[in-house]
Amino acid sequence: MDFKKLVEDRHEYAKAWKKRTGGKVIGWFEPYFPEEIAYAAGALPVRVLARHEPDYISDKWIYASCYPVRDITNLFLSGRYDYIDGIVNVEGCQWMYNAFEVAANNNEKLFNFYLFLPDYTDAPTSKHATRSEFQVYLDRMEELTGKKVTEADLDHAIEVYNTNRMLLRRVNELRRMERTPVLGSEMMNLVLADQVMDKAEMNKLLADFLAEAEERAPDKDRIRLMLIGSETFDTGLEELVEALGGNIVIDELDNGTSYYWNNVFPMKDRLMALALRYLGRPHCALKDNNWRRRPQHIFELSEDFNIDGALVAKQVYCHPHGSDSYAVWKILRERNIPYHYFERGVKLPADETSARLEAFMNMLKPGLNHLSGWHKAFGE
Amino acid sequence: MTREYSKWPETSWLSDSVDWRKAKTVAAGVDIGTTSAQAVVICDGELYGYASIHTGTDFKQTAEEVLAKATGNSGMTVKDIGAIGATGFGKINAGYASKSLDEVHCHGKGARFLYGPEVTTVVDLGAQTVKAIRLYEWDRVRDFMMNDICATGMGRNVEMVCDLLHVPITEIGEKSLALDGKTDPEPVSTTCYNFASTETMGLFRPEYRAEPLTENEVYASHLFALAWRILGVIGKLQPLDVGDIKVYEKLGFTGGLAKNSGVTKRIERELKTTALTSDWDPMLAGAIGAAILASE
Amino acid sequence: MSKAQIWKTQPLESWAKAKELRAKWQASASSQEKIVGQGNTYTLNADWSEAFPAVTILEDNPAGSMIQNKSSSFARKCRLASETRGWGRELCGYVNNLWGSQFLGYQIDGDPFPVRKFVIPMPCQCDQHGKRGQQARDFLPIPQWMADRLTYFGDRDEKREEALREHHVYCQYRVLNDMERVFGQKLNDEKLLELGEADTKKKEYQTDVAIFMTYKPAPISVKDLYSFYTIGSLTKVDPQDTLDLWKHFRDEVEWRAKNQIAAVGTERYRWIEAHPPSWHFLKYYRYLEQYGAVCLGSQYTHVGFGDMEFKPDGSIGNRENPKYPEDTPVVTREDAVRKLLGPDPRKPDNFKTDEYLQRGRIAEFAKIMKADGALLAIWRSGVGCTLTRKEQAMYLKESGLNVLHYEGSQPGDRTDLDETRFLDQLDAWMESQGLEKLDD
Repeated sequence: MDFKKLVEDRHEYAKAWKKRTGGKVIGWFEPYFPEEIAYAAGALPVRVLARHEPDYISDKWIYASCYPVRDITNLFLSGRYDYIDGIVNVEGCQWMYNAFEVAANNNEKLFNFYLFLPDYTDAPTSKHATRSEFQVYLDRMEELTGKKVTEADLDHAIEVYNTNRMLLRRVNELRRMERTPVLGSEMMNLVLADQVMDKAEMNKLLADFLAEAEERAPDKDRIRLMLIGSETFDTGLEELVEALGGNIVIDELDNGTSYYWNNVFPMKDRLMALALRYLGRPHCALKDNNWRRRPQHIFELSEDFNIDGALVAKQVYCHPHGSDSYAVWKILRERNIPYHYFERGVKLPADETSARLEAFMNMLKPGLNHLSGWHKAFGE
Repeated sequence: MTREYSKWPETSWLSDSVDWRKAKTVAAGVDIGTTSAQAVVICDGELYGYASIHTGTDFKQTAEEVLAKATGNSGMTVKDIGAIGATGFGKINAGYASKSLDEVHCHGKGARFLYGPEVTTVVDLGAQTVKAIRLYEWDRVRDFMMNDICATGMGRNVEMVCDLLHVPITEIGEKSLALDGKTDPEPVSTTCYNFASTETMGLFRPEYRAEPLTENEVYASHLFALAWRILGVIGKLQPLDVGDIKVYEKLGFTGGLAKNSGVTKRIERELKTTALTSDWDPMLAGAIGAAILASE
Repeated sequence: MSKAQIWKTQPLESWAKAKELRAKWQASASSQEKIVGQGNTYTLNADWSEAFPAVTILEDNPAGSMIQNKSSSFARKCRLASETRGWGRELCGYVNNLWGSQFLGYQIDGDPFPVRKFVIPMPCQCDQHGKRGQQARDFLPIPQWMADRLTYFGDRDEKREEALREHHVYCQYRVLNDMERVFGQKLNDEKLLELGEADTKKKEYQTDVAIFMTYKPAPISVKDLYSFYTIGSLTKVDPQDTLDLWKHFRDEVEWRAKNQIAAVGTERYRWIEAHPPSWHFLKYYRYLEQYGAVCLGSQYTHVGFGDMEFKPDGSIGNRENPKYPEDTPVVTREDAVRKLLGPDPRKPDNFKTDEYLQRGRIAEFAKIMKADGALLAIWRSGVGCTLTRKEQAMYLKESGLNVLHYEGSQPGDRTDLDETRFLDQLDAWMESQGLEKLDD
């Protein structure tokens, strides 16, 4: 299956789904959105992904936001998302909120919902506040779809989503292998496709992919990199790394591993179970507030996936990641993990980026044991 | 024809004390940049010839031309050169090269050639990129930073402003330092070179100022902004210093903007250091590094 | 008197009293040893730090803009220090100035940077309010307390608010209790309530001032207001002294409004703005006065710092916040916190609700202030300062106002504010509306 094509054809996919099922499509903007609720209500939740297209509209509405937000605004204003029935934003990055709100203001018929989720995620009251917000959202979804959501519906949605996350984790585990047969671009395409597709359908594709990937022969030795930073919406960076002889073997992106990292633990109170899952996920830069978990999570991933170096890529005007760089750089420096920091937009300037990547990988090469074949002793 | 104030003189040189035919190793390096191209020939570790020209619209032709100029009338052909390294944004156009090399390692290596083994911080001031490179004692690159999405600190910015202000590129630096004992005025925008250029043009207008700026002060304001942006790139190098950016005693500049004292002196002033000097043109560093790395 | 003079004008009498209070504060501030923390107290609707014997809370915005105002070269150095440690250079200037000074280890005058002993980030209104607090804690292991601000769209939904309110109460209650536990200081609970009452009263006065600014001619301009609104917030003096000053100021503004004593004697054009001005370049207010143009403030000044509300009849007035039930006694500290917060968890965020979520409100505001035009800054660095600005302009234009945008880095960062260009823009803006500079 060509997952990259699935991502590229996401609008057509959603339109076809809608035609086939008669269901509602819900676009979501921020990583803490409880998709299971929308799914239980019979809707198709799709992540709103940026894509750069000629833009002569967004400037009228917004100023100085990051590029993804501009591009998303442009996509809405130019009618790319006309098939969407509703949009939801969870309290998070304010630029993304801006895109959400411009989309809502431009289409009065569009169902819209703003879901509050505490920035202080660890308070004993946070889970109750979140659960309450999830309940309000569920009620609104019932009004929108006309479907009464039962406990069985929620159980089914949680089951489908947990299966999905488990399958993605299993594919991701293959990336720990020394000469992993899974390329970073493949993994990122899987995750991006996952966020715009019906999960039940995606689960079948994922199971097939996993079975095939597990049988693959080890790849050639590549420099193992980690990708940290703002969200990305395509695999341009991963592909560039691969063309230069490297592989992004792990990422710490909102729409990468953080999206599928943790599961919902079944509880009698389904909404509370969901609240705990979303409050307990690897935090995005914006929500990593009270107790700093993100730097340690990054370090643990770097160890588990045996990386040679890290790329810290921040979207220009991304204030959550700009504010977090200090703590991220600090832990990377303290643990002797070489990293290269750079700014990017939705699209990458290919020449400039390859100049950096080539230099960074050449900097890492001398002394990399796995490139001299030491792992052969382990039979890999 | 309108005078192009941004044009710098092209150069080439051939040693009259070295006989390349007797050399055990002959290596060449070319650095095809966005606005300039350099080529060098190194015989037994010594510089034998070089050329530095403007990059034209045809990168392939530039690549041919620059190497031809570096070999001059020596009779040397590509076949006579043991190894040729190519670097720079246009390196792919040097079809004769035996190795394609990244710019960071080339400038690091080239800086060691120009400034000796003690140089540990290299700042390449190119036309479209700025690179700050931290070297280990034994030529290894420890860390490097490139400019982020912004062209304010670039040579191209100076070229643009020289054409706008009608001041020769070879003079703007020194003029900006001749302030009759006055300190630098506030720098213009460090965010975007279009912002910077318009703001600079506005500085010539006296109506909103209690004390109008002199021409040299306007240049100073512009070049100070450039220097400040470059400091932001240098300052991110590891190991990171605590407090102010610490003294970089072993600092070496490479690239075309390294010849603009209005930029380099201001960087030195802020870093409280004096950069290392060389008899060779700092623009050659990339090509020299490419030649050395290709022959290793 | 200028030929163009239309209205009578005279200096504000309250100035003298304000200066006295400021001097008193400066004397007391420098003589006391305090536990210095970082953050905001708005979330509790009371400056609770004053209820502790020796705690002071510094706010990041004024601290950052002060650095830019006092020394451009030091501010630049601070921002460089901040940038090279990872903070994006395209981020909020307040933050980069302040934490840059922390990284450098010293302040403008060379004195050591007063490292913070605790930090209370305040999320929501601007993301960077939340994220910025982390810097003090990422830098040194100091206590950090989060104080969420809560919001949702639409009319009040009491059922929805229940869990949000409990979360809100918890956040605030925890801060106060933990402050006692960590620093061994006893919170004066009674004073806490007094501070809350004083804050409410002060905001009422401030709203009255906003109402009087709707008069023609405007009795004061926003530049005058900015000189007063720090008293009682940044300039921390006895709450009663603060109230006395605000009462005096309010009464004087009322008298001026009713007797047509103008802030600008040549007033013939009224304009509003949105969000903070370029603090280092307030010259533009006086510059526009040369055209007889007076600034009446913004939702930021009147809703964010006062407690102004738009009434259904098209007027403005003090916000009618739902009250803590009068028959419920305040016995415990938790009760006190509940009373201070009030039943509406969105209360501390009314400004955001008004400005961000109901952006058409700015046109309503302009109409109430009888404004002819709007000057809206668009700041490149600082999401909270820029969010909605472009869209607000569209609403204003639709309602017939002449709108001008000007561009800069951020209110506390002069990097991109091209002063020459800005003043040129103002000339063009005025001239395009048929206005010319008046003779002095």
